[in-house]
Amino acid sequence: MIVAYSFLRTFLTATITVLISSYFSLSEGYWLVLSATLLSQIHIIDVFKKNIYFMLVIGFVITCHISLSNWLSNQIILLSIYLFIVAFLSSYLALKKTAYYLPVIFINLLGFLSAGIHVGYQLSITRFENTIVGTAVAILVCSILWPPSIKNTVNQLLRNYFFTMDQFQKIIFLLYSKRDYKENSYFYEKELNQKRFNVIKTVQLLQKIGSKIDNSDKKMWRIINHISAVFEIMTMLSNLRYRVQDHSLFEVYEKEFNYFSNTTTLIFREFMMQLNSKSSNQPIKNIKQLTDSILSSVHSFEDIYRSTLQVVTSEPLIYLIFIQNMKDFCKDITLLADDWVAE
Amino acid sequence: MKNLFMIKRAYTQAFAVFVSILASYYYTIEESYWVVISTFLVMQTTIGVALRQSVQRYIALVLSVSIGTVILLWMKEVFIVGMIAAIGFSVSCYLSEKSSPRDGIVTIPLCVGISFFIVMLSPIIPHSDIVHMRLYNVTLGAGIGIIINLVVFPIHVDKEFRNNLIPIFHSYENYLSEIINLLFREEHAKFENAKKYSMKKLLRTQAKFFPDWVYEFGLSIRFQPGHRHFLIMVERVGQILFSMHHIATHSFDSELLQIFKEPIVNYTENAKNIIHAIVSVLYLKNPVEQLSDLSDEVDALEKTFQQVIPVSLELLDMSKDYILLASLITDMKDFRITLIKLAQSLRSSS
Repeated sequence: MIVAYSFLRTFLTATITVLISSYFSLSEGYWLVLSATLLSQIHIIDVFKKNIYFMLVIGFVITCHISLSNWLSNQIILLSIYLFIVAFLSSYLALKKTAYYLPVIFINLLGFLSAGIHVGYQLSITRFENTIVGTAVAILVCSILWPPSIKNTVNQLLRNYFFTMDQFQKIIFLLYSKRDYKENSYFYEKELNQKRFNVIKTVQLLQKIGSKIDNSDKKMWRIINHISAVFEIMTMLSNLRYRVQDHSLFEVYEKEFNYFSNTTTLIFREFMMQLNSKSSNQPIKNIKQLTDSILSSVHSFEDIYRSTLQVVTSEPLIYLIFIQNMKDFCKDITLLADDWVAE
Repeated sequence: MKNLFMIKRAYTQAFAVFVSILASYYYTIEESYWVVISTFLVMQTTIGVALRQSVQRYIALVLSVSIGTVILLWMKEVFIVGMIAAIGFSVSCYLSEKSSPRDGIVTIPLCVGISFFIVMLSPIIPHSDIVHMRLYNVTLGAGIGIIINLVVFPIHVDKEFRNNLIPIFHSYENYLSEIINLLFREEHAKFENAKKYSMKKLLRTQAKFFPDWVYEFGLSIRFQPGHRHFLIMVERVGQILFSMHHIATHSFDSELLQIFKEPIVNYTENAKNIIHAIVSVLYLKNPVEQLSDLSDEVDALEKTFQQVIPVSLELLDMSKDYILLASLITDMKDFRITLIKLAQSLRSSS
């Protein structure tokens, strides 16, 4: 969904600017298209206001950079030194903070292009104006397409959290169905690591917000605590993959694993729907039903453990810990839902 | 260390841009910007797979520039050309995002998309020689980029791997101390802040330094098995610590916890010594002390657990405190096994 939205944003921006450029037969019109389309790709942070601010700053930097590159293009040594300095500083910044990587690439490429296509004073002004208009179009399209209900910073981060957590839990339970985990562990660990880091990034941002919340907003602080706890429990649920030597034992639990994973997806979707709706204080009706159904599958786990695994496996305790973690997950989700709608 | 690496990389890229601008001035006739664009794009590679990724990006550039130029020679209508460029770039961005790359990497679809976009929107009126000219410029630029990437401040994979891991191990050591303090509620008034702070600091260190480029496809065969296995173990240490942190937040019965205090504190001190030793080896120094392999400490924990938990109780009927203590001890056993595996990997490679 997020990827499709990104495609739509880019395509719409490019189409609008191509239409403007060809309808008005703009000279240097390709700068309007280039700057708008490349800027529309910039998505540094999942927070609406901050992202718009970044787009403005980057648009301004691009405009100044291409003007200066064009101005210096007849002085090859000066141009080389200038582009060397820009490339050095921007590359250092991109390495320090990888979120700035794409804007740095675009700034540099547009600078090279501007230096390579030298124009006189009049056309350089036109180029400057077209780039500014391109920035404005990119920001406008981004603002229109950004879902209004999640323009709130915390809502956006929470939405991102539930989305990335869902991906994380899916990969965990997928690993339990993979019989070749031991042979291809690095491949699966790479996927798991990537999904885990996606959650970590959002949890970090939410904890940063949490540390700034004053004592009066206890509800938000409790919510942030709960979502950190849910992430920790999900990490604990993934521990079984390296504790068990023989993954074929997981066949016994395959149905329960799938049920747990699918129901967890429904739970996270329920929270996301809450965030998308106009009022996020409506009672979350289905969460209780869903956690009850997970608990019933946990009881099914316990039955299988009692009847089979307690005898077959050499380390029954690790399954017991896994069962307890599942119960803790249900408990923390219920607490999260309760605090979500509390005053 | 990380700062020095970033400065060197930034300098390499900037130097390549400098050289390619001069080369484009003296050795090209038209559209000299393709030299610099090509240099810049082929240098956007990850550690350990520079040559492979550079060549891939060069091939991607050749294809996109050729196809774009041929379309331009054939199609004259400006609006249609613009729309083709828009669709091509949007699709490439979609494919790039769908492949879920890490931050800080120009994927091949994006490379193709950007160059195709620039070709289609270029104001130069195409003529019959333009394909050869553009390909010449792209090749010149790619050659400069690839050579400078390999020759100027070349990246030593092993060294960068070690430099990235050292701060992670330091943060693991601090985090372990914070977890044990939290467990026994040392400095009681500050423990809430400690909980927030330690988790935040660990997450930040991991995100900044974690060398997941080791997982990139095409990493040298020499590094693949050892480094990847090592990284999986390093990441596992972090996960075990998260698990222990969660357990430490539970309010245990204080009398029960006091019984376990001495073996847990002994275990923690010796575990930290092993982490120190691993860090020493990563610094290419020999560890000074004779170290415990934590087997005695783990035995002490298990013995204490067996003494405390009633033997006749079926496991599913255990109280939550007992289950969490069992979970903590299991985590400590996993922590021990993982640290031993890490230490053994280092010993066999040195």
